[in-house]
Order: sequence, then structure tokens, then C-alpha cells
Amino acid sequence: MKNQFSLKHIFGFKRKNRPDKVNRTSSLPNDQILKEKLLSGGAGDFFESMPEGILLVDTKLRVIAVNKKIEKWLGYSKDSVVGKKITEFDFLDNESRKVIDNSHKKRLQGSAIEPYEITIKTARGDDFSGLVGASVITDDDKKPLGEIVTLSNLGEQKAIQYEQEQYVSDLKILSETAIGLAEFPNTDEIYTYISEQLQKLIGDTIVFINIFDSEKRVFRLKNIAGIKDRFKTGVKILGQNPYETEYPASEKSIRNLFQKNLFPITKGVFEIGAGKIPRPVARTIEKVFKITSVYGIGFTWQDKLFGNAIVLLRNNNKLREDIIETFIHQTSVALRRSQAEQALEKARDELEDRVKVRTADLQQTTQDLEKFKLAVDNASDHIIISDENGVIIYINQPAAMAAGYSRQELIGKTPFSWVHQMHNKYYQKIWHKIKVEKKPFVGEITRRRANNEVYIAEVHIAPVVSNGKILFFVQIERDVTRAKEIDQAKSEFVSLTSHQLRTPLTTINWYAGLILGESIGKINEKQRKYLSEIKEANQRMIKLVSALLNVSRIELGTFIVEPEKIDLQKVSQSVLAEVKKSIDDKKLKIIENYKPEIGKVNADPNLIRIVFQNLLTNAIKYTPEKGTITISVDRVKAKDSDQEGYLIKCADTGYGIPKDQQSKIFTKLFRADNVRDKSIEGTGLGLYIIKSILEHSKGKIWFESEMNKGTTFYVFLPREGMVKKAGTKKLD
Amino acid sequence: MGKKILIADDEKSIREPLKDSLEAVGFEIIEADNGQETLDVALKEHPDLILLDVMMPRLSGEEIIKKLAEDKWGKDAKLLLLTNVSDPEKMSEITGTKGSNITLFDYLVKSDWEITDVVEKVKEKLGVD
Repeated sequence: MKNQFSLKHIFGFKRKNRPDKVNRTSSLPNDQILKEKLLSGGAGDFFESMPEGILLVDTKLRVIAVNKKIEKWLGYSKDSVVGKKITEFDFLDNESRKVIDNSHKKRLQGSAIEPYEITIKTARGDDFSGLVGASVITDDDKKPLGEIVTLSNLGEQKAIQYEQEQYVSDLKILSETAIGLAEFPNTDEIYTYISEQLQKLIGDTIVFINIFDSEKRVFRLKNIAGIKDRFKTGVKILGQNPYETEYPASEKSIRNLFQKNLFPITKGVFEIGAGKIPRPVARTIEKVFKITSVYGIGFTWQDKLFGNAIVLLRNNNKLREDIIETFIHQTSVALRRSQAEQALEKARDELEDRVKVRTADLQQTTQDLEKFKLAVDNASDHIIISDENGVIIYINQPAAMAAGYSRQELIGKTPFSWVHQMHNKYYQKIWHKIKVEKKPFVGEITRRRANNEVYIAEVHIAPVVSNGKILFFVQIERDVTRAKEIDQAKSEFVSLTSHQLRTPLTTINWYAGLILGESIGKINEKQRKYLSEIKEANQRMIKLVSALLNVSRIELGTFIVEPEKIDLQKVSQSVLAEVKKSIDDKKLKIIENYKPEIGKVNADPNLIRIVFQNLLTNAIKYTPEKGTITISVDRVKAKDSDQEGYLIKCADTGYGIPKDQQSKIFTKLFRADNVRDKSIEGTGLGLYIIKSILEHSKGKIWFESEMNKGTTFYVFLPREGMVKKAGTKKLD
Repeated sequence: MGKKILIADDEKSIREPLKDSLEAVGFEIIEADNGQETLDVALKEHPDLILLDVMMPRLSGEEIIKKLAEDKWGKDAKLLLLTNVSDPEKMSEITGTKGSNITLFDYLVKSDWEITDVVEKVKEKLGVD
């Protein structure tokens, strides 16, 4: 360090190697002796190499020798100085000369003089500021021979000092920045801070801070320092917020920023403008803002560019690369951290929001579930949920109460653990339906309560299937014992009274028949007419009683299905023969169409007869005179399936069934309005009976109808015919 | 002609038109209005045919058949059931009575039959024109 080369050191050094006492062995004049002693050999080299300017003077301040520094600093040649007295130098002002002279005299008198400052006008015309120190050289008798005068370059020292101060200041800014960045809130304010710090560090400059969006390949302006206010005003006039403005990042600039943390942008504002600012405009900007050089600074982290700073230096300001690079490094880390924390915070906020939403959802779901549970717990129906193996996982209170056990006792058991009697085949049928076919089962089972009381439950068991896998079974039951008893009583009542009704009806029928047969005497025409009315009304009553009996048999489940091989054609023809009179009365045309290949069908002749009777009597009743009835039997595939079987078709050209009443046509005791209006007699039981018969024997019935055009009924019997069913009563 | 028919029915209004119609075609008619009387009259009079109501007081049609089957004459009796109960199981129970030669021609639901058709059926079963 230059500071170490103080005058003290020089003299100390000199004292060591070159004693001030000069041996006065010759008669040479003083200056010659000084020259010889001080400038000969290696000492001369040292003299030249000294960082100070050195003048060798005699006791009269006459210059004996100077080193090259003096020449360099002051601009005057050796020759123009040597031989002259310092006090005669015209480049020294009077005051300086006086000071030099006084201090010289004092030193010769033995006083110690502190070095002093003087200002010298150099040959170049500027002022040289120097520090002058001197040391007296004596001979062996301590008689002064002359002096060594040193001139230190104070300007240079000041520059060094300034540099040092600047360095300390920079370090201060850097460490301040490091602390500031570390403690900075994770917001966009960090960009302002960075640009401000950068400005402090560089001095007179304009700084743009951008972040790099690697997905969109754009830079996004985050902050401007240096011309902020002016720029802002300018942008305000344009009505635009300068921040968040995006501008495309060229691959070249990305590469530059990424590869070199700091690099000069040689074409200045024009280059920053990326072609958008014309060259003359760029030049004008540079002039107006006194921009003298432009640098790009890339903020990189782990092989990724995530931002940059554009630094525009003004007034020939210089950039100190080492400091800036340290700054870049610091800032990159902080920026990266800030961005990461911002992202983290954002993610955390989002997560929080999601948690809030989820929590609200969950709360809603929980509330819904609670409501649902309350509803199910308190439903009047018996509700049982069992797992895929049929083990009860839930049972509501009414179900447990009906069984006579506590809910806890029943959980873990199967819903079949309190059946009264169940045929193994029935049990297997239920399981097959719900577990293998995965379809709901609907039926009745007889159950026994804990107190041995037996009750009948109407049961619906539905498998809950997801992706073909059974999750659980939902079983809904209702105790139908009482309803069944009432039904039974009702049907028994109908059955009994029907039998009792038949006897007086027979009496009326037979007596009227006897009188009409005139076996007990002649009757007149009026008597015949009236008696016939009585007989006919009685016949209707007989039919109604028979129909009611059939309904009660159907509802009691006591009717028999006894299939045997029968010829559908023959049944049809036989029924047609039965109703021939009414066909003739209405002059109806009958078309018969039996496919010869149908062969014999396995069916209950009695039931098939009822089917044909009902179809044909309905067609006759509800077709006006001279209409046509077509009856046909064919082998076909069933409606909506591939099932093969027999199709009986009975089409008429009658009144038709009103659209709005078609859905009720198979309902017990239902009669359509249009035929009631026409006063056509009917019980409203015929179709109900046929449908019941067919449903009990795997057949189907449906129809098509158009008002005043006619109706076609279709009866389908599966190929295997009717299924045998045990019972006690035949249908009449 | 001259065949003897026992009309067994607790309803006079059923017996009377039957009696009148059957007499008109030349049958000899005897009557009974309850189960016990039916059995007594049948065992005494040995009719060629019994028109038997199934539901009668004191003895049911079923019991009458059982009793007849135990009798020397009665086990060969000929019967035509007249009923208003269409209960095939019960009928097959009745007709299936073992150890007798009793002939059960048919069972007719009274309300479904015209009186003239009943007469025709009787004539047919007894082989009378």
C-alpha cells in the first residue's frame, strides 16, 4: 500500500542502509559529495523507483537532482529544474516559496518540521497538490550538506482514499442490501428495493427491473428507478400503468443474460428498444437522459433465468463489475427466494381456500347425512342395509321393533335370521335375483318376532351396484299382515256372498225359463218380453257374480293353473261358436287367421278360454254394427325381447280406448268413459282378470288403440307355455 | 221312462223347477230337503239317479256319499252333483272316495245352467231319449 511509504519509513530505511553522516574524505563540493553518496550504484535505482517525488537540494535549496516522478507529476523536465533554487521556481506561488524557505531554515537550525501541503501549477496547467517533507543530510562533523525533499502526490492519495471510502460504502450498501433482502416482505416491493439499492450502488443511473416469464417467454416490468417520476408522468399521460407491461424476450437476450451475469449492451437504448424505438429516437433519449452506457444484468438461479435489470449509466458514470456481480448474486438469491415464497404463499392461500370450501362441503354433507339418517331412522317402513354378504350393517328402529330385537342385536346378523318359515328354494331364488342377476327382488316373506308372533312382510331388496360390484343391499319392508287379513276377509266375504247369491239367481233363471218355455201354460207377447228382460238381467247378475268370484280367487291366490297341451285354434273357434248369436245380432264380420304351424300349447284350457272369451266379448261389445273382428294366432318373438312364444291377436274396428284412460284399462272395475256413455254393459273386471291370469302364468298382454278406429289386443304366451300353479279354486 | 230321480236340495225354489221340468219329460221325482233325509230316502227308495246338492244342512254331500258307499245298494248308486260351489279340489275329494262303485256323472254349477240343459244332461246320463 502506498500509505506505508510514508516519509518516516523512507528515512528509517535510509538510516539503516544509508547513514546520514557522509564521510567527508574528499575536497569535492557539497553537491558532488551528495550526488556521489546518495545517487551512485543501487541507491540511484532506488531513488528512481520511489513512489514519491524526490528532490535532492543543497543547503541553499538549490536542486541537485530530481527523480522521474517529479518530472511526471509536474510536467517539467529535469534540466529545467536542476541547478535552480526551489525558492526561485516560478511555478510556485510566493506563499509556497516562503513556507519552503522557512521550514528549510528551521530544519537547518535543528527543528523538526511536520510535512506541509503545497499547491503547484504543473506544466500542463492544472494544480498539483502535494505534501512536502524533508530531511537534512550532514557530514561527519554534523555540518549540513543539503536535504532530501520528498513530494507526495496528495491527489493520488485522495483518489485512493476516495476509492477506499467508496469501497467501504459499496460494502455497506451490499451488506445492507443482503440484510434488507433477507428481511424484505414477500411482495412486489422487493423490486423497488432492488432498483433503489442498485441505484445507490451505481450512482447516477436509471434502472429497470423485469422478471422473466419462462412460459410466455416475456419480460414483465416490475420497477423503474432513476427516472421513475418522469417516466410515470409520461405513462400517466398515455393512461397506462407501466408496471406489469410485458415485452417479448429475444432468445439472444435470454442467452446473454443467462450466460453472463453482467454484460454491456453496446447499442444502448436502441438495442433495449428491440426494434420498437427508432435509432434517432434512441439517440435522442440517450442525449436527453445523458445516458452514456447500458448494461444488462441477469438474475439467474439454478440454471434458470428469472429476471433482469437494465442499467442505463449517465454522465460517464462507470460500473464496478466486482461489486455489481456480488450484488447480482445476492439479489438473485433473494429474488428467487421471494418468488418462491410468493408462490408458496399463493399456494398456501389457495390451499386454505380449498380447505375452506371442502370444509363447507363436508359440513353440508354431514348435515345432509344427518338429515338423511334422521329420515331413515324415523321412516315408518322397515329399512335394513346389509353388506354384499347379506350381513346387516344398518337397521332402522321400526324394523328392529317389528322383529322384537334391539338394533344392536340385529347388526351383524342376516335379514333372514328372523324368518318364520322359508323354503330353501325361495331363499335361493331371492339370492340369485339380487346377487347374481343384481336385480331388485320384490315379494313377501313370513317373519317371526322375538315373541314368536308371526307376521307377513312385503319385501323389496335392491342391490346397490357400482361398476358391476355390489356395494350393499337396501331392504325395505312393510308389515302387511293386517292389510292381508283385511284383504283375505274381503275376498272371503265376496266368495261367500257370491255363492249365496248364486242360489236365488238360479231360482230366478230357472223359473223364468220354465214360464218362457210355456210348459206350464201359454204366455202373451208382453209377458214374454218382460220375462225375457228379467232373465237377461239375471244373466248379467250371474256373470258379475262369476267375475267377482274369479277376482277374489285371483286376489286370494287360490286359483289353479293346470297346463295341458291344447290347441289354441280350437279354443278360439269354440269360444266364437259360443258368442255366435251376439256376432250375428250385430252383423259383425269375423276374420280368423291361424298359422297352421303353431301346434299345441302348454296352457290351462280353462284359463285360455277365459282369455279368449274376454277378448272376443269385449271386441263384440265395443264394436258397432257391421264392424270387423280379426282373431289370429301366430308364433313370434316377444315384444322388447328375444323370447319366443305365441301371440294371440284380437283386432276390432270399434270405439277405441280414450288416450288419457289407456293406462287404467287393466285396473279392477275400471270402465272407459266412451263406452259408459253408450250404456254398454260391463263389469270392468274382464281385462283385470286376463291380465292377472297372464301375469300368474308368465304371459303378457298389451294393446294398441285409436279412438273410433279400433283396438287390437295382443296376448303373448312364452314357448314353454303356462307355468303350473297349485291352488284350490278354478276360475269360472 | 219311469225312472226314479231323487232331488236333494235344501232350497225348495231349486227343487220345484227341477221337479216340474223332469216330471214333464216323464221321470218319477222324489225329494229331500236336508242331508239326513236324502240318505234315508235314497236307502229306502233306491232312486236311479240322485241330483245332489253339495252344501246341505245336517249331512253334507260329501258325508252322504261316504254313507252311501257303506250301503249294499248305495255303493252302486248314480249321482249328478248340482252345486253353486266351484271348488275343484273339494269335488275331486268327493269323487275320489275309495271302495265304492258310486258313479259321479258330473258336477254342474247351477247358476251357469239353463233348466232345459239340466234336463238334457239327466236324460243323457240315464240313457233316456
